[in-house]
Parts: sequence; structure tokens; C-alpha cells
Amino acid sequence: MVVMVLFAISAGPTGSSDLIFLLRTAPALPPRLLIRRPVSRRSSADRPRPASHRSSSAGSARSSGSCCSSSSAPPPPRRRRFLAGGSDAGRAVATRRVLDMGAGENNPLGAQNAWDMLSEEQSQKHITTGSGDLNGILGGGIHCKEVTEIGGVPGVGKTQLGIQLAINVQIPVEYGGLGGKAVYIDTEGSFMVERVYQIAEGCISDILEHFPHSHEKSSSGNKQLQPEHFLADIYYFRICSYAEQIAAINYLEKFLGEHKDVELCIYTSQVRIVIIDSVTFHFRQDFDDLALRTRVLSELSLKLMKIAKAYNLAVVLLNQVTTKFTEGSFQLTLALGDSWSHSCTNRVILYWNGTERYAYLDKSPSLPVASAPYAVTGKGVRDVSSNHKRVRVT
Amino acid sequence: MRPPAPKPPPPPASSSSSYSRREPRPENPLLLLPSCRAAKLSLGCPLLDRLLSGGLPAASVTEIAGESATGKTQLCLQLALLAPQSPLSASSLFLHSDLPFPLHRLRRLAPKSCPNILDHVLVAAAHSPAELLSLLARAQRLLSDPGRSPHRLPIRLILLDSIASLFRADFDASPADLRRRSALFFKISAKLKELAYRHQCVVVVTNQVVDVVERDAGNTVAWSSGRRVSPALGIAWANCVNTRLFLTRELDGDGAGGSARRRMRVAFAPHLPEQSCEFVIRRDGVFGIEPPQR
Amino acid sequence: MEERMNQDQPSTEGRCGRFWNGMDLLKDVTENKHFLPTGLEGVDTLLGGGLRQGQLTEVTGPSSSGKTQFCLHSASHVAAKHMGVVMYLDTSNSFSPGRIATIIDGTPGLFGQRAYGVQLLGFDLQPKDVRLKSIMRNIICESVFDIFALSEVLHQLEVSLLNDKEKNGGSRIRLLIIDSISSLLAPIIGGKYPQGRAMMISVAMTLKKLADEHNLSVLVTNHMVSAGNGAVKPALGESWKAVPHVRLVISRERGSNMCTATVLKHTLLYAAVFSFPPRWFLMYAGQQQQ
Repeated sequence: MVVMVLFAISAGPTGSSDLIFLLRTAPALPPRLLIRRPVSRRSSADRPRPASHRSSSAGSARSSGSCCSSSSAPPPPRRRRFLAGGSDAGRAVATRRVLDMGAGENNPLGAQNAWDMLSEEQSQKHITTGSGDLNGILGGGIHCKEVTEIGGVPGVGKTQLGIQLAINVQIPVEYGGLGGKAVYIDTEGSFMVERVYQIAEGCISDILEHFPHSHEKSSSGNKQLQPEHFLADIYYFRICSYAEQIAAINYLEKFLGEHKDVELCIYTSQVRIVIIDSVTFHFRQDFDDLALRTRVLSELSLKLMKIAKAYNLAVVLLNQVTTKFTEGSFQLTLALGDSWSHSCTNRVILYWNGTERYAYLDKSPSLPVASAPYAVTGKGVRDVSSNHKRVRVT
Repeated sequence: MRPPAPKPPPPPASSSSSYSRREPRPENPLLLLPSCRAAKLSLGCPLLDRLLSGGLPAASVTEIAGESATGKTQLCLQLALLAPQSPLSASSLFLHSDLPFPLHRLRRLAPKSCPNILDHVLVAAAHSPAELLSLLARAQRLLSDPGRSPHRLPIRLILLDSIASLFRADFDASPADLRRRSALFFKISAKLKELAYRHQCVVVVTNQVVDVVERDAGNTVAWSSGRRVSPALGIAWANCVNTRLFLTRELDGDGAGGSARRRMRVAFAPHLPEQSCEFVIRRDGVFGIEPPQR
Repeated sequence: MEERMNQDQPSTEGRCGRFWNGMDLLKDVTENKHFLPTGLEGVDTLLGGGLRQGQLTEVTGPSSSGKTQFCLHSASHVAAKHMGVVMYLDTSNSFSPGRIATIIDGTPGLFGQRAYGVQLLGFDLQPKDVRLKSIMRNIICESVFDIFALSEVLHQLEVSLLNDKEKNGGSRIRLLIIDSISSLLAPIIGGKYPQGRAMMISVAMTLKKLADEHNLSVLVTNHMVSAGNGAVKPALGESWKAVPHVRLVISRERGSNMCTATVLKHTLLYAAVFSFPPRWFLMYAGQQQQ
């Protein structure tokens, strides 16, 4: 105890008279950077309730911390407990062991053992990219519950791939797709609706090619295979500054929560992919305080990870490349460098090899690095094959 | 005079002078489809319009890159004169950084039928990135509050000629200066895109080219006048534009001395395939021509 | 102020750290604080046996250098050799149960013979494979996305471990992995906010206390940030440097499967260790080669 107290003194710039201040009060982080605690965790029955036995000891900060399940302000951190060795009191409470805590439908962020996760992972559908080779290196397509970053030089097809994914996620379940909706957050203005319409038409024509009798089906839950329906199921946000980007992502959590509840009852589709194009554009301006930029970006990426896991959707971040001065020469790397590079689960880099477009899987927890060619045609992203190249009009 | 086209649906942000901070609201692309198709600025020539699938799109930044005397400024002047009579029915704001503004060329291009078409072209000079940013701030106020001169059409075309000459001076090749320069690119581009989106403007920026020596792949390099060239300001600026049009000149070996074939190529665009079209620069403007029959 | 401080201290004397004499400490170390091999031979040699119980080991390295693979290998190996339960706290949704199954299947000497062939991109999983199931059920994964959630999870872990100690005389958890702790701390440290650093130190103290009292081995990952002129250094700053007992830096050549591990700091091995050559190990996504 004595050791810990001394450590706390030396860690911060405060003197011993301010020790009580450290123990009692919450860190005053600026509101924008406060990480919101999810209310569901508090109200889940699995969590132990240490508040009851704590009421005997003074410490308003602590008890207020445990009971504010309905307030919107994040509760102060329970640092107090660690410094004071509160596990003595914790022993008296009959708590469920952490090993027995299970994840379920109402608590997707809870603890799970690897075997259950394995069976869940195997039943997971992936979002096809339109190109078989590209799907191959990605292990079937873009994975849900993961954040994938796709970077490349201008013109190599990042936005095309983003739009293709926004359309492909909507392929109905009976044709092998996810039947979901898409959220497209556009920071650069590259989302051209007529191109989206063209890609939707291309996707539908491919579906009809593979399933020639589909137009005869007319079940009530069947989505009409019209490009207009595909367009209508994209939620499009256009943002013009980094503050709007942060606001949009904060709003997204609320937006997804609302739609999830409503849709579950009606048994229709829900959002299964969130695409941000491009995630770093507004952060490449002059930031007076680079540490602030790092903090904001880290919080952004954690939030996106959480959204991906909690709502079982795929998050795709499109990123730009920049030249970086390393080892005496300029090299091409993804924008925002080291501080951002760990903020994704998978990373794909799109590059030119002569006149061909290639995709390179750079980072993945379960797949080896590999490259595959792909092409951008009038119908969208497809495999490289001679009769589907975009017609060159000279 | 053609009656002005119906106004497109107003963008979600309010039209007050300060863009209000509201909760973000998703838009429905299906509802945006008709206005996206309609709001295109034609180039005045059906062949070039076919290359661009209707014309230059609104709410988007288009870059026209090429060597000197390939027709960039000519094209900008032509667009400024076409805008008031097009379905866009707009005035234009011409920001120039190369001195002086080519007024005599503009006068020559202006159609004789409408003598006061030059009323719809606003000109301003910018000699440094900081000046450009302050000009854009003024333009924002002007665009948000158009009621001051009722006889003038709203500004829906912004031309910047050229971005490269703004950055020629006082930037060395040291990494710190390049970072500073890139940060300015993004700031300028974000401002232009915001204006383009909030007021449904067409934004056109011209750029110069530099020679490239190393092997570069893809769409950034082209042959022009026998040299391998690439648009100036590097990959950082390339990330800032939505569409890039490359104007190249191929010296014809067998033609008369000095004749050249000019080509407009789509280097990259979110909505266009990579294709190109030949064009000529005539006294009355830039026009596309059909390729000669083989 | 004095009374308030004393009032909040727990009253039982047993919670104040008792005084240990040298023989007790030695006995504790030899009996309780074993090495947990990671299954990667080069690393185990470098670490003198593996991840030590009671210690906090940090693995740092640039992006996609193999830190998550290191954690997955360690988790699989500890679970597969039935050394105990592994608790994996994941902040970037990188925990891949498919990869764990592949690694376990590739561990030599584990099954009598290969029970089945595991393809990389699709499994032919036979439902009767009880051994794989029993091994994988010993790896618990939880997603944490902010530092406060981590504090809560650690507190509950502490409570659970104490319960285990009382009832069963020792807990089954052997290894606690946090991948990566730097992404949880990045939003709050840096700049003008000392409270963030205090939070980091508090979490570090909790981890070390858990490690020491319950004989856990704690493995955390850290990322790199730029240090000027193109060089990189581990994130989390100067205050963090003193926290882990062992710090490893790993790096990977682009496009190759070979990773290099270097010891940055080790409290038990003396200074001469820095003259050891960095060890390499292969993390091949199909088989683990020695």
C-alpha cells in the first residue's frame, strides 16, 4: 500500500497535499475526448454489483461511479479501487466468475471461449468484392466484425471498391449475399451517384446471369432486383471537416442501435457495412497540436472497432498514400503513418503493376500476405479477363 | 434567354452564413440521382461532353493538367462564358495566380450576341496560398449570402488558374517544407470541396506538369511533346482532386511544321472510364474532333 | 484529512503486504514462478525459457511485424500443453480462432497423429474432435475498447482469482494477454493531460500485482511511433519504460515470414545479454517451423 501511494505521487506532477485530489476526482478530460461507456455493460445482469457493500466507506466518487447507469456522462474511472486494495471487500460479494461470463445476443462484447468463437466464425458470411481473385486473398471477402483498411494511390480504384462493397452487401441472402444495408461516409466527394447506379445495374445483371430463374420468384421478403432499391438502402453521409467526421461516427452508434431494434422485430435487413472514404483526408491539414490529432484518431479507431464487434458489421476504411522520407529516400506509405497503422484488423494495399491493378494483403491475423490482380470495369470491380476491360475510346 | 433550370434540392446544411452544427443526417442516394445527372456543366462541344459523360460534375473538384499552351486557360475562359447560358445558369468566379488576367482573350471569346455576359465573370487574383485561403473565405460569404446584387446569377462555377504557380516560390525540397506544403494542399482542397458541396458548384483547377525521370506506373504519367510528364505538386495534390483531365500534345511528324495533335485524357475519375478524345483549339474555343478515319 | 485517508484503508492487516525474507522469496520463485514457453523456439531461448510467471512482458514492433501472431502462438501453446487457462483481451478484433486452431494443429507432439487436415481458408472440422475443443475452451477472449472497460475487466478478474484461490487453492489462469494495450492508452496520454499517465500507471500496477499474487504471466503488446528523422521508438513514452520486466522488439522483413526478436530490457539477465544476437523465428501461416 505504501509503495503504491508513493508511486502515485511520483507519477504525477502533484505534491503530497494533492494526493487526496488524485484519489477522489475523475480525470478532467475534455468532453470531446471522453470515451463514452456503453450503457449496456452497466445494465447487464452478468456484471457484479459492488456498489452495495461500498456504501459503508466514504467516497462519493466511487459510489457515484457505480450507479450512474442512466446518466449520459461517463462515470469517473475506478482508479481508487486499485490504489486502496479494494478486493478485500470484493471477496465478500458473491460474484460470477469471470470465466463463466458468457457473451450472448445482448452482450456481444462479453467474454467467450475460443471454441465458441470458432463455430461462430465459420458460420460468418463474407462480403464479396466482385473479383474472385481478390476474394481469394481476403479469405472469401471482407470479414464482418473486423476493420479493414484499403489504401492506394489516386485512381487505382479505392472508391470503386468502396462503392462495390456498398452494393454487394445488399445482395439478397438467397443469392449468397448478406442482404444488409450500407452506410457510406464520404469525406472527399467521390461518391458519384450515377456511377453507383451503374455498379448496381452491373451487380444485378451478374446475379441474373448466375440465377437465371430468379425473376420468377416473388416471395414477399424478396428484395426487388432493381438498381433503385440498391441505391435507397445506402445511408450516405457527406462530411466536410474532421469535427463533422467525429460527430458522424458518434452518431453512427446511436443510429445503428435504433435501426437494430426496429429491424429485428420486422425481420428485415440491417446495416452490415460501414465505409469511410477516406478516413484521413481531413486529418492531413495543419493540426497545431499533433498529440491531439493522435489522441483523436486513436479514439476514432477504437470506436470503429467497437461498432464492428458490437453490431456484427464490417468497417472498411479507405486511405490515401503519401511519400514518407525514411532511410534517406522517399517511399510510398499510407497516410498518417505510424500512429494510425495499428488501428485496423486487416490492411489491403492497391497498387499499379505496369498497367494492371493489384491488391496486396499487408496485414491480417489469420491469412498470409498475398497479391492478386483485379480490374475496374463498367460494371464495377471484377476479375481480370480480356473481354471485360473498360473499353478504351480513342 | 432560356429560363433558368429549377434549383436542385438544397443541401442539408442551412444556408445561413455559418454552417450550422446539427446532428448528421443520412441522405438517400436515390433522391440525389436526378440532380446529379442534371447538374453538369457542358463544355460546349458534344464530343468532349461525351468524353465526360455529360460535362463537368457539380460538388466535385476537377483538375485540368497539361503543359503550357495546351489549352487549359482557354478551356477555363470558355467554361466561364458558357456557364450563364447553360442549365446551371450561373456566374463564375475566376481566381488567377498567373499575372495578368487574360482579359483580351476573354473578350475575344465572348459571343457577340450577349454583350453583358462579362458581368457574370468575377475575377480575383491570388499570389500565395494564404491569399487564396482568404479569397475562398470571402467567396464563402458571397455564396452564402447571394442577395446583394439581384441581377447577377448565383455563382456556381469556381475556376482556379493555376494551383502550381501558387506554390512555386518559398518552398524547398526539404521534408519539413514538403509536409508544410502538403498540409496547405489539404486545407485548400477541403475548402474548395466544402464550397462545391454546400452550394453545388463546379470547381475547376488547372495544374502544370513536370518532367519525370524514374519509372512510374499507372495513370500519372503521359507523353506530351515527346517528354514523359506528370502533373506537378506530386501525389499529395493528386489525393486532393476528384477528377483529373490530362491535356497532351503529340507532335505530328508528317504534318506541316508546328502542327500538333492535342488529346484530352481522363487520367482518373470516380465516374468515368479511362478514355481520351482529340481536340483542337480554334479562335472561338476548344472543340473536340472525331479521330480521322483510318 | 488524516482520518479520511485512514478510514478508506482496508482494516485487515492481511492486506498490507507482509514482509518477505529472502528464503521465502526464493521458495516462491522456484515453486510458483515458472516459465511458460511460447512455442517459438528462438524466442524461448532468448527469454531463457519463455514468459515468466509473475512478470509483465512487453512485445513491441512496427505494424504487421508479428505481434498478434506472437500472442496467438503463446496462447495456443499454453492452452495446448494444458498449462492452464489463457485470458486474451483483444482491442482490435484480431483474435482469430481459426488461426488458433491451425497453430494447435501444427504443434508437434500434441496429438498422437494428425487428427485431420486443417486447410487455411476453410475447415473440415469433425465434430468429434474433443481434444481440440477442450484445448480451445481454455482460451477465453474478451473485447475491450477503452481503458475504463479494461480496468473493470481487470477488477473482475482479480475478484475471480481471489475466489479461485480461496476455494481451489490456486487459479487455473496462467497467462493474460492484452493485445494491444497501447491502443487503449493512446487516446488519453500525451499532451497536457497528466491524468492519462496516472491512469496508465494505475493499470500497470494492477497488472503487476495480479501477476505477482496469482502467478500469472502477463503479455502486452505495444506499437511504435516515430522518433524523428525516420527512426521509430516504442509508444507510451518514458513513463512506461520502467513498467514491463521484459521488453522485446520484433520486426519483420517485408514479404518474408521471418521475424526477428531483440531483447530491449530484461530484469533477470544481466547487461551482457545485449550482446546476444537477435533470434529469429518463423511464423508461417500454415505450419509452425522451428
